[in-house]
Amino acid sequence: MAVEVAGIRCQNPVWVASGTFGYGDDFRDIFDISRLGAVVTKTLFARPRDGNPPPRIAEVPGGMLNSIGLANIGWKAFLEEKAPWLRKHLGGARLVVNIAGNTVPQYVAVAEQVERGRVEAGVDAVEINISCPNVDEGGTNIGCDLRLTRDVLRGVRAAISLPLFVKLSPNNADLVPFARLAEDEGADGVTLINTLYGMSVDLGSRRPFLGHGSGGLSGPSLLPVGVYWTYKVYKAVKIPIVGVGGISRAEDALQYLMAGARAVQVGTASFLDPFASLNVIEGIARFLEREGLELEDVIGAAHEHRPLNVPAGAPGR
Amino acid sequence: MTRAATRAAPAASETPDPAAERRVRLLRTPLAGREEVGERTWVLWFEAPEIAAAVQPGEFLMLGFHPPTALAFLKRPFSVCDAVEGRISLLVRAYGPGTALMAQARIGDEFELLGLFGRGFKLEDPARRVVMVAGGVGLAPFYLLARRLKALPRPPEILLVYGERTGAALTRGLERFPHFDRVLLYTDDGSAGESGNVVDGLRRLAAAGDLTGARLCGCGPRRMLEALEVERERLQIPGEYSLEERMGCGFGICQGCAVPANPARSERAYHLLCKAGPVMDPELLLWPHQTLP
Repeated sequence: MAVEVAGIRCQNPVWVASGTFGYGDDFRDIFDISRLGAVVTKTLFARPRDGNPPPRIAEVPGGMLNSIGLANIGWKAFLEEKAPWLRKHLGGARLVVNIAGNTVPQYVAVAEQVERGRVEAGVDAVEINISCPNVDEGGTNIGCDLRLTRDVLRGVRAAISLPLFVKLSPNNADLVPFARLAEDEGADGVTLINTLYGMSVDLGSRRPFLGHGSGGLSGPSLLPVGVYWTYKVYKAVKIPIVGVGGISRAEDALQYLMAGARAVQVGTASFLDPFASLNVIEGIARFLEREGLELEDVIGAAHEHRPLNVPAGAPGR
Repeated sequence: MTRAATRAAPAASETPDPAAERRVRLLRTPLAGREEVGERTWVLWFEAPEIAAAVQPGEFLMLGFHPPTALAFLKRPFSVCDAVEGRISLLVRAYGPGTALMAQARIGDEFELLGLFGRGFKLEDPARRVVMVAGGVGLAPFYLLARRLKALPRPPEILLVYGERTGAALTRGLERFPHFDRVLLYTDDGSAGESGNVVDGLRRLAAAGDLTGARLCGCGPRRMLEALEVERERLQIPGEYSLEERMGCGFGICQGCAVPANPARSERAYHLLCKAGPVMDPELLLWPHQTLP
């Protein structure tokens, strides 16, 4: 199940998504995180951030809305308080640090901090968040603007020597120009997708339910959206895709892999079942064994140019 | 509360096993028992020996259906209401479509219990009198708290001040639960107990001198706790509150359950209730009456 993604060798293709796994140590009493392909941290800024007023989450049909607002402890506290635990417990799992800022210089500032601390913290790759829907500056407003996206990418790319992923926003009519831009500006991979804009209105107060007003939609309803963009972007760029959005079972992850993702991230599913990522790993392994396939046979298999590797005499074919 | 709750239990199953590993478990289990105890309100029982042995009063777990349904996708946090003979109970009131489904579940329906989580009530060094103030299903954690306090070598006197909107909503069977020494009932419309609210009850206890040396434990709707906190400050009695907030996960990763922090006691604007609470020292929180100019 090992796979290479943008130069990082992962023991399996299942990562846990930013903002749904804390900084890893919240799982100390739950499971051994060294079994994961990679851990992506909660988005880190150069300085700590408090986030948005409550209520911050709302349940909706097929998923949930969140308006956390990138609450985070900041890079310095991560390096001092969280990274030592991660280094001790990650084992064969990779560490991907997710970063953001309110402005282009803030993105560059945290990128420079990560570059300086990368060895001490054991960072394997960086993922840039330009697609948070819950901040007034530095989120989707960057991820929906090609010029701002380019500025962030140039600044961060110049600062970071590690493999660099860009997490794109689905709140665009077309993600392909953003993925091409990422490739042209030297990103090593793209992560597809962040949450979709959403809102719940409270009938009692007759006001938006979330403290921030709007939020980001995540959960099972995102699955076909993410699979669609993975399929489309796979045709348009050569850099690897990490698929995320609505994955709670191995079958969901396999859709992303077949659409062209080289790795996947389990996100919101970890909230209701913290063991969901492990179940996805085991489920993919069972599928491959049952079908007599290697992981590489599955990646991109949904595209017509890929011949299907169907073993002779396979049941049901 | 329920007949099962009042059945004499061997002492061993009522005292927490200190060796029980504090490990988060996802337990898939059928609903073992249910009893309607008030308007839109049910007690649900589950066979969960490990949780029953490990739970401390005020700790909570996340309850969801197996498999999750479209109307109850996320799990919901519930304080453990009682733990007897390897079973635990939860007090569930139908507020929205998800909790309505849970409240109407049938015996044998598959559920998932995830936990245990959070910080519970202080058990060590209790005051000689503990005043529990409950609003609505905020009554839930006080059954287990009362049971455990009464199991201490020098058990305190326990007074319960319990308020509901109407008499129909009052949890039935309270009188069968032996560990509350006195119960003061209040309803908004006076249809049962006294007409008024739990703050009126606390004032009455204060006027009678019943709060001397007492510790306050509160659990209920936010508005109730806000009013209670104004009164607690005025009366200068120590207390702890079990708070409620929307939770996506129960263990810190969703960051959904933010509650405003007292800026004099915290560098951050919010505490995450699932980790800092759900039982919190009210002095660590920022209350609306403290933010008024």
